[in-house]
Amino acid sequence: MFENYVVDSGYDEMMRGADSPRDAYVRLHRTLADFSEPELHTRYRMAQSIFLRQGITFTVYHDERGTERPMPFDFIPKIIPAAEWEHIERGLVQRVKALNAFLEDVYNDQEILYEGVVPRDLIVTSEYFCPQVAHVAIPRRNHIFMSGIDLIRNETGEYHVLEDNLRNPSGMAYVYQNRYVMRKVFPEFFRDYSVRSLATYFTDLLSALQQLDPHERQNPTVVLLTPGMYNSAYFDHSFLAQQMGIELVEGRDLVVVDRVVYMKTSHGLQEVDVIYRRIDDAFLDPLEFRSDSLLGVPGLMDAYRAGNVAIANGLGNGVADDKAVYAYVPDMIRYYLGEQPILPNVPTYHLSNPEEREFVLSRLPELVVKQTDSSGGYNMLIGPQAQEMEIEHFRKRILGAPHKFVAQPTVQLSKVPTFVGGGMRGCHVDLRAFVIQGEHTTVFGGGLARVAMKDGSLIVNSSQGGGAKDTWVLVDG
Amino acid sequence: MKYHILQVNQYQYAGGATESINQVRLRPYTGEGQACLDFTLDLQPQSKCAWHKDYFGNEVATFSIHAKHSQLTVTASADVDVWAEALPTETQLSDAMSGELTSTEFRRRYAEYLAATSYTALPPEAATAETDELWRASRDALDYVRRISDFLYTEFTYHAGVTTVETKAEEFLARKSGVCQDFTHLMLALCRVHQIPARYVSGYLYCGENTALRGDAAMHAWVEVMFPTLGWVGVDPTNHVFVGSRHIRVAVGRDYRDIVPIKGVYRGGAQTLETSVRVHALETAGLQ
Repeated sequence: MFENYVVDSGYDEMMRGADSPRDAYVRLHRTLADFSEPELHTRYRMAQSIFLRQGITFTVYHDERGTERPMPFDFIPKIIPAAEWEHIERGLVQRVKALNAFLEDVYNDQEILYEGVVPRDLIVTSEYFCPQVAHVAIPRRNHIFMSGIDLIRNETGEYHVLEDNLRNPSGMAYVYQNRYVMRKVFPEFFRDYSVRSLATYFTDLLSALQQLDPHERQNPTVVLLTPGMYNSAYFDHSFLAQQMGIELVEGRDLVVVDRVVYMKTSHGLQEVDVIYRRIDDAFLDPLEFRSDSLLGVPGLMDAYRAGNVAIANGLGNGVADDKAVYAYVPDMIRYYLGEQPILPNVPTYHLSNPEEREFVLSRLPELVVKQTDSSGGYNMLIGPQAQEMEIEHFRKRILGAPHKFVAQPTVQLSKVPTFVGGGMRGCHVDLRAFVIQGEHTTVFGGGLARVAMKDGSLIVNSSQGGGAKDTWVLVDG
Repeated sequence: MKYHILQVNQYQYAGGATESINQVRLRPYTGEGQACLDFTLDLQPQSKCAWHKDYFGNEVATFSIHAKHSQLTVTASADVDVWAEALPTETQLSDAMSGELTSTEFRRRYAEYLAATSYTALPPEAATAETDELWRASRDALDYVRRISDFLYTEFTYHAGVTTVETKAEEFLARKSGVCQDFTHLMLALCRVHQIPARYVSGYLYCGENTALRGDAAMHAWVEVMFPTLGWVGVDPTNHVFVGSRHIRVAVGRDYRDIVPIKGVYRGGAQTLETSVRVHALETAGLQ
């Protein structure tokens, strides 16, 4: 399989050279050698059909052929040795703790803002700033029940944080499904490895949610609030609810009476203690947010304020995962925890700063420019891959609203061999790791390795045609 | 000056309403220059209120009525003492004050009140075309605020019924007629364009025998601008005056959205609303 494999620029996570795998991949490399190409094809098709049958699809925006298609999948896993994972884990726990402290501060005394560590204007004028939650004593002071932190490795293999997703990170269900399919279709791959199991994945998730119950009941009622089946992440929602054994509800299934949230059931109203919501802030409660929202629950915010229900994730988290705020996360770690960041950021230039702007404008063909309030790989310029016209178009947009943009050096993302067009090709990957906070902060032993399957592409977002790989965290070695 | 205020809001629902939940920002403010001595909020049908203080410092009551009802009456009654004095018209900013006004630290501290909102956003050309000349002619930022108030008062017409609570500053700028809410939003926009922190104030205006004043038949709205040393300075562009003891403050925010006096969500048919506001002076000595 690897006869024609090319190890070129960038860091290849599996292959040191054309025929020499790195330590963690030696056993997999050997197993793969036993497979013929037609056999791999057959297995690949089997895997795809399982995905399709289970309805694991993802909405691709700007796709005229239809909105849904199966999530592209690749069977070469991303393998993370135990020691490497331990480093990542410590770095992520540290980062999420600091981000949580930041949110608690922003919605209370704003000390970090008044001290000028993070520019106050950047936060309080953000469209995600949510005055409605100011001074609300939220259960366990927990703002970030689940976060998806995107990590990349640079030319030397060093991990960096690329992005924090603190609102409604999706992808948990895919992680589980990928593993399920891999185990079923490629059992031989696991033969020589001891991979961290995902078996307690959903019970852990559920107990973290239960720990948020403000009443600290024995057996709290937890529900998952979804916008409904037309949402692009509905698969994620229904799958998670089913696996955790909690009710999947829509806004119309809930009602607030005397500041308490109830679920309408066939035998009357049942009090709800914890809401894992997958609805955006603006649609949660038409009384206090968008009044035209039909998805939310009138009075929910007031029940939350009264301390009668936990909402995960918290509201207003968008002020902390904006691309402009990202640059300040290392400062937050130093400010709140008095520690040095374990996982570094990618250097980031703020285009609102005249000096940095001038520097960036003179180097557009080398840099990546991102719009601070966009996600999913949209509204970005990848200098080295852009046409002259595109660069000029972006230059105009930047000059029109410089504060809306940040720039970063183009990081040559690491590659993992990927089965495309009947052979192996090194494709760029990143890793979305999931951090869960209940009583404690923990990182799920795995994650969604996202792969850019288009030749040379650096965009791994599934909404733009990226695919997924299973992520193996090794128990030893 | 002591006032008694009585505001009655009566909602009628065609075919009745159920699962109604509402938020009220009607309790007059207590703080610098003003104290709310007594306040009652009466609800028919009866309901229990839960109070909280919002991000901007306003007292908010939330209540719900689940059973079917065909009308809802919200009666707010308050006794308020106001001793705030209007800023002398000849007040000037010192160089130090002007310097602090333009400092990064000051701008960050009042950042909420410098950013455009959906109500106050104007196309940049429109904003500068309207204000460039006034800005250049102004001695300082406070003088500019005064000129803007004068400009709005003389060039725009107070006319009820041509705009709604949804009307944006940009539309008012083109139409040149509207009510106090529109004057206020446009004034906020024109102050913020020149980096003067400005916030929306809702409240009441005591007109008494002074028939030249506009705005006592309903709730009133005006602007507060923030200057170093002076603090929040009230300016009423609908009447072109600095705010003194005739203005009774209820709530403040970035724009109308933050101070909506009564808002609600319910199941049912269309609603109609009748509001009456009466402001009574309990004493008149010392009224400016």
